[in-house]
Amino acid sequence: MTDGTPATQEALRGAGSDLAAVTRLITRLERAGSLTRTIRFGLSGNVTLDLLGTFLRKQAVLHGQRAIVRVGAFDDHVGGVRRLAGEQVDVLIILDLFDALIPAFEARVEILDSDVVRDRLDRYRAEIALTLAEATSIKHVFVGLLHPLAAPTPDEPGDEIARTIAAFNGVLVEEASQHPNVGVFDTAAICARTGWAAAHDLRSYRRFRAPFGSPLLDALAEHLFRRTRGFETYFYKALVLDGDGTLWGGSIGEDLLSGIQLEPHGTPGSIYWEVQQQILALHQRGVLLALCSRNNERDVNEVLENHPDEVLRDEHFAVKRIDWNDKTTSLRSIADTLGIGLDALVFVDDSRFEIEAVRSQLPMVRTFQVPSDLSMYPRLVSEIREIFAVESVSKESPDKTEQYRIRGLAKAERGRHESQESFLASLGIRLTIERDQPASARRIAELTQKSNQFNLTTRRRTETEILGLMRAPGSEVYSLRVEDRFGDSGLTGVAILTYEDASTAHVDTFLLSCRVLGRGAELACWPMMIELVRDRGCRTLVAEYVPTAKNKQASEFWEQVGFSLESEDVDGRRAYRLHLHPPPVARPPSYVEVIGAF
Amino acid sequence: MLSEDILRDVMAAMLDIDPLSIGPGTSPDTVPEWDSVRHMNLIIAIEQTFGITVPDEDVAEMTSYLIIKAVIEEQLAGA
Repeated sequence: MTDGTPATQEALRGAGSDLAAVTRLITRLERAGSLTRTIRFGLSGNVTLDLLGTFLRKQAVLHGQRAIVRVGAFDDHVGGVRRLAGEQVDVLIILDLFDALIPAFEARVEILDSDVVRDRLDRYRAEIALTLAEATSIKHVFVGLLHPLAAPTPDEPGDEIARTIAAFNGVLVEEASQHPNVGVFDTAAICARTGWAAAHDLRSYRRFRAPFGSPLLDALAEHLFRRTRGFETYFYKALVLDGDGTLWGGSIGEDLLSGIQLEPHGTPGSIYWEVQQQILALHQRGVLLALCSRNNERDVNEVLENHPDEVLRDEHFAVKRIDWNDKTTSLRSIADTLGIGLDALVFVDDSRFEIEAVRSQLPMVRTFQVPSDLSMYPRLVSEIREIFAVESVSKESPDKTEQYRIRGLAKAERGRHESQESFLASLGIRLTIERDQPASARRIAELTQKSNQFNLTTRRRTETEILGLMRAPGSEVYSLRVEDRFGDSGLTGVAILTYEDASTAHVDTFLLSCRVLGRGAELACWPMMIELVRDRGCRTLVAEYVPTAKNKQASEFWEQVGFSLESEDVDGRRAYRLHLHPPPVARPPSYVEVIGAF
Repeated sequence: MLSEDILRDVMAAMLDIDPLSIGPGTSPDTVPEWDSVRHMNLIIAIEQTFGITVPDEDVAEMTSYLIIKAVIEEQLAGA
């Protein structure tokens, strides 16, 4: 049965919103037993939402997960959500139909006394505020904007229905913005995508109070999984681009600089030029770019340096592999150089052969082929933009390329020094430690979400959870910034300490972004932090190493700091202890200057 | 012409039961899984699969294999 899983998944993907086929295939995949994780969803609405559960289960099994779906109380958000929070759902989806806020609201919106509408609006604000207050313990909350049952009429922009919906949505957005765990989705935009005619099932609305059609619910579930990177099952970090036929038309080796197609006012040159603009926008949002081309390096570099219409220049690429190696070799080498996993790569190529070769040998790399109808190419890049979920990247991310380039320069510098020690000493490394800074919570949460390799416990946290830990008296959140003479790497390390009792402190989380590893910061921070823990009167510091598929390199770390191993269980999970009295002997690397900014 | 195999497959999928267990007498009395949510999904799936519109008055009545089959056949004949 497990052998059939990819084929069944493929069939499920192709089944669209055909309810019988989708249900049958979901059940088969759920029973196949290869699902690794369970996500608990709660649904709350003023209409029947049960069918959304089917499409959440569909997306879940496509991501190798099992969804358990609970439905709240009918038309009672506050009570329903309280119960769902009690059942510890991971995700809450709130979706109301505007037309049902007052029976036949759309038909009556012009007839009703304006006081009645205003009263309903006030009650709506109160309901939403109370509901979201009940939901603060739920990790992800998504609320749908209200929308009409049919497409807005083109000849009356801002008609009464549209105006009233806008007023309610204004209230909704205002309330939602007060909660960092709440995200809003634009239901009307999803209707527009699936087609307004298919978005609602008026018969089912009348019969079952279930107005949302399968295509709309299918698209909504897909949207939510995309936006949350499959609820943290994947995290793409780099976009790897082929050259010929992908960034420009034609072949640089044969058509030469004047022959390739990239001119903004011609066809198909304008398509490649537009696609390059889209990719540049992705780069500015923090996506790393890599160039992977089977060509003579000199030819491709000439395009990057001298083609008048080339948008993407040498400085936009964090890494380039221009040689005659096969693409799988190059992709491995790109991942290695960037210090990220192959499963963080998205690869675009125009050649069916290259795409298939990568798919069969490196199935963890997400691949996209340039469409043979080139006019569809910009739309494909828009899809790629969605899977990077770039909206949630924090402000610190955009200059990542610069940091990875710095890392590359530092690697080159290393070659000139005889010993690692003297190289590091020449870098002028400075480590700044900060504590409980709410302004950094977003970046800290992001690091807990995506750091895999040097992460001792791999506990994923949201911004809300980080803020909670900062505020709580029994915990502290430290952030680490590393800079050296090549540049500032920004906030790249996190330590979370919790105080279990008056005498014991516990290292809940310790992680460092892999791009600053190997410069001693991971060791240099501890003497100062141990001192802070001693100042609180603690006698013992405990820590653990929780093994994952990716963090092997951190397995011996606590010994290096001076901890002693207490126990190791069958899963390889290790518990450590460090006695603080008398003070442990610190052996921090001499070449790191540590600054406590408290 | 109604394919009974397809009908059995749709009912089996939507009620989460074995298609071979479905016979003339299959009804909410014999299938504990057949609750109101499953009934709703079953009607929607039947309409999608057979491309028909189930008349409003029949929705609540379609509570056995034989009645479901009769309603679909009537709609297919009328189309």
